[in-house]
Amino acid sequence: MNRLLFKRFQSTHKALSPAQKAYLDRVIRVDQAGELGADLIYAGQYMALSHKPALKPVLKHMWDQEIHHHNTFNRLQVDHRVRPSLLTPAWKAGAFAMGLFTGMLGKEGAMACTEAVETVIGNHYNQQLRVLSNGFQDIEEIGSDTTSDSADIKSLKETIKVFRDEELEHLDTAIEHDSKNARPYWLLTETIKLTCKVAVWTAERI
Amino acid sequence: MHFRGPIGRACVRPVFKPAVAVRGFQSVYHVETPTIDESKLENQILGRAYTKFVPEHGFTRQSVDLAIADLQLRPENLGGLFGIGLQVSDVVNELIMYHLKHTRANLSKYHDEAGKLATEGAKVRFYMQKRLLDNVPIIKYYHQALGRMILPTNLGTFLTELHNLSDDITYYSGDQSNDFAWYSKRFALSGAFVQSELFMLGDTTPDYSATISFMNDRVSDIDTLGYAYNSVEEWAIFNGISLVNLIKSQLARG
Ligand SMILES: [Fe+2]
Ligand SMILES: [Fe+2]
Repeated sequence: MNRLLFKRFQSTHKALSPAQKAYLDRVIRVDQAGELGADLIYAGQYMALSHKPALKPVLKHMWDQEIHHHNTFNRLQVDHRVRPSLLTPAWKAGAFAMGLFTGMLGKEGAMACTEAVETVIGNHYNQQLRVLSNGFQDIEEIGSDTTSDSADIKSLKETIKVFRDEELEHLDTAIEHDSKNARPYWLLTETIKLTCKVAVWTAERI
Repeated sequence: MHFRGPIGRACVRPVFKPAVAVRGFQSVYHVETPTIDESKLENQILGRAYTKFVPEHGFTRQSVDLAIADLQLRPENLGGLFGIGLQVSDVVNELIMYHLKHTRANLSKYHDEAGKLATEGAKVRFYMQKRLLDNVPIIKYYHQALGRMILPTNLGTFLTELHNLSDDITYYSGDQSNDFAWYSKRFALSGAFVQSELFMLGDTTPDYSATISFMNDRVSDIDTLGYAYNSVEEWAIFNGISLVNLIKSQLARG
């Protein structure tokens, strides 16, 4: 904890620009809120569906990964002094309700929800990785003219890459478990996708 | 084109803005801009005015003029420094802001001492006490400064700085909150700080012991605040879950 204080640290890189700082601020805030949401969606689904023995370990595995994602971004939010989303109570309630509702629709409903969410989140993480590669090429090391990623930027990129891959695994899992058989499939997935996009936009800002 | 009247004044008056309004993402691997950039001439002037002349002459233009003379600078070369024409109100605002930033930056001297304290609450109180006592050298003039801070045109800037202070104190004290508690802690701390400062203006006890105990009372109220909020939330979730289970059991009965 409190890395800024207690490791009297020698910085390796020059200052980030205000725009870069603002971007990273948003990245951490929205990803934290998103992983919080994912954590609670699975909590809701697990509550609705854990009485089905075939499904329980599948859900539990994905849920455990989301808990790890969530904890990771919580730590990053504290370490980098990022303000969490003001709307966290709403994200908690909404995500839990979404998980519970889709879970009550049955296995297919829950999986359609996962499919929709992970489609949006996979794209969202890819978009962030693009910006982190293209928009952060100009940061110079201290005492030399070479540019490189600092350890923090590097590890943030790595984290997002790993999480992106795991989200896409969840997407595959959902399709393997008959997400396409959910009814009404189109309405359900499109509504959830839209909800996620609105939530992402909001959580970046508020 | 040359405007006269209020429009003209609005055009030439330098906009009073904090150097860093929003802190944003911080990383130990990247250089951070210091709270006060001492390499800048205007900060050297303000610093000299603040330490040497404000305790005597208050937050006034005169303190700045004395500092300029003291540093053996020529005032006629300084026109551009504090905005056009060294308008009194802006120099005074800058001087007040210097006080706030200087005392906030001072807190980083106390990390070793604070590290020996066991709890987050104890650390918050410790930093609050240090910060309040840093008002002592200028306390005679502080009501004037507060009066200026709450002017509508200045309020936003000074509230930002107040938020920076409570954010620093909570962070230094080891705050780990990830949700709404993050906000409740900071708002509560800002409130406690302002109340303690107002109390301090009328405090006649030696060493300001009354102010410190007033502050300690205020902070023990907020100690439980983040916790209180999350308890309400957990209570709501727990009841939500019970309700869902109730509905499920009713549905299962058919
Ligand atoms: Fe995730
Ligand atoms: Fe996921």
